[in-house]
Amino acid sequence: MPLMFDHVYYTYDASSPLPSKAIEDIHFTLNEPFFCGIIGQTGSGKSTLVQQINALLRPTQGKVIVGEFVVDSSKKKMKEIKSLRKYAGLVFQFAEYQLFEETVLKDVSFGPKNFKENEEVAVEKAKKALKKVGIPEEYFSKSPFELSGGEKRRVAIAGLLAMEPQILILDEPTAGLDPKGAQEILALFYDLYQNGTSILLITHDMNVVLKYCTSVMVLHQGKLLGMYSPLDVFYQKELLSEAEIDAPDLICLVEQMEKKGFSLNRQNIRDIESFVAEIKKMKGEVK
Amino acid sequence: MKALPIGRYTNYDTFLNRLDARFKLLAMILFMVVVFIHFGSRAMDFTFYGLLMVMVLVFMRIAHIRIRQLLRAIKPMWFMMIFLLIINVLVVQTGEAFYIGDFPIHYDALFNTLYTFVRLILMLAFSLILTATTKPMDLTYALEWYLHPLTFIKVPVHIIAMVISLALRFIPTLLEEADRFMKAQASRGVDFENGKLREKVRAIISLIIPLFVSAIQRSTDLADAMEVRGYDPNGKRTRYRIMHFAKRDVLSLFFLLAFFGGMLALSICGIDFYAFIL
Repeated sequence: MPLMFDHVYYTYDASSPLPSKAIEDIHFTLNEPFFCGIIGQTGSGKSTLVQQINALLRPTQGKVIVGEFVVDSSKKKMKEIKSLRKYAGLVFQFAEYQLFEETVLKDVSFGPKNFKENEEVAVEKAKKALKKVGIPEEYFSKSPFELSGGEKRRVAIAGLLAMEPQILILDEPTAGLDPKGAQEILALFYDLYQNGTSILLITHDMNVVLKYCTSVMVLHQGKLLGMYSPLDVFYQKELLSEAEIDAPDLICLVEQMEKKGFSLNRQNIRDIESFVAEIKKMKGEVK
Repeated sequence: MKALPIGRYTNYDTFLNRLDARFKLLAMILFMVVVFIHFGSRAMDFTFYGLLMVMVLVFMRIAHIRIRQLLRAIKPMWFMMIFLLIINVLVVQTGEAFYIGDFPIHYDALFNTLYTFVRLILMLAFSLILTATTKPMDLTYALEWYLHPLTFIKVPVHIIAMVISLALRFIPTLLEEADRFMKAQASRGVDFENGKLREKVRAIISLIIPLFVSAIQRSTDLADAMEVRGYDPNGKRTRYRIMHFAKRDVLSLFFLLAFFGGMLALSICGIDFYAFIL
């Protein structure tokens, strides 16, 4: 099933004296399952773009096709809005602030219950989701407000995972997490992707984009500069400078080495491990 | 979320925007007094309400406030008005009446409701004009200026003003945050518009608890940040922006006082023009 944006525009406060265009003429198609990164400076429209997908914002112009759902600019209330929101789950930035229940388990099962799952199934799904994000069982009956910031974030993400969405949209899920925690969470998303869930990830961490994403969208001032493979995008100097994005250190290293006369296969280098493997291969050739 | 009854400050450079905040605050209070005083007769009352309404429209025109903004502010009051009308019809049993079937409806009841309605609209309109043309910070300064004499009887005017200005400062922030939490919970399947009462209560709880938590968090953070920068509530403070009365303020004050004095005189003497005409 595709995720399709058909020339989507969105303007905040469209009828007010001070309208502000957030995104303009966004047009793309993604085939599920995907692990797509969205990059761009702050204020480039990333968050606005993803909110069109589960109809938190309705396009001012154009339409969004999400699986079998269509989000368009009509003012009418969508009948299938709940199913849409179950299909495409959105985790907001600093999601830990949305916790409110008395216990961790109750909070995570809140989502499935809203989608008319019965109590037992909801709790079962919540437990499964909590296990996935690495929250141990003795935390289940704690109040979410007793947890540390990182733990809260995981619980909040579990709250969305428990809904078992087809498309999981994440707005900077690792911002403010410690590096190890961030790695674990990202590995979890990658695991979900390999099991058939589509992931749409807003991030400022280019290393993450290079390592995990199958494709990447570059946004700049509300316009989509293009959809690329992460293995190509970081070698395009002009594009990066237009979008005001810095390439990951690894890419700079590869480029420096190439200048010095090494020939590396760019398409194989996604992270430190694959880089080391590539170097080893080269050494083998030299020997 | 955006249907806030008071207007958001819009940065137009109009005459009303340029007027001193202290004057505008006084003007609003005096206009409100005029809205609430009684004149010689009912006809006189409504004549002056009409006059005030015309003035409101002129001010709104000057300040680039659209009529739609006022209508939007009035919209939530319809329900209250109907409720008030029913209560009035049931309670007020004086004066002349007409009958629907056997049920008497007294003219006084209708007029009582109409009075409340008109007064509320006028009050809303004046506060809309004030808040749309005056920065919240300037309003607080104006308030502090008026309260200043109270320092002699040891009222902590500065602290009160600081509390008010902080509260005003955080209204948009909290609204924005409420909007964010609504979206976050909507993503988890909460339906804020439909559903049974029980579900609605749950929906509201899922919004209010995070809001409280973050507001408290924010206020302790803010207090720390202020202390770190050496804020002392009892210390003597200087001000970056000093307010000056300009010529236009003095002139406007003159007109305002003349208008208010005239109104007050008419009211106290209970003069009824219509009695002369008829």
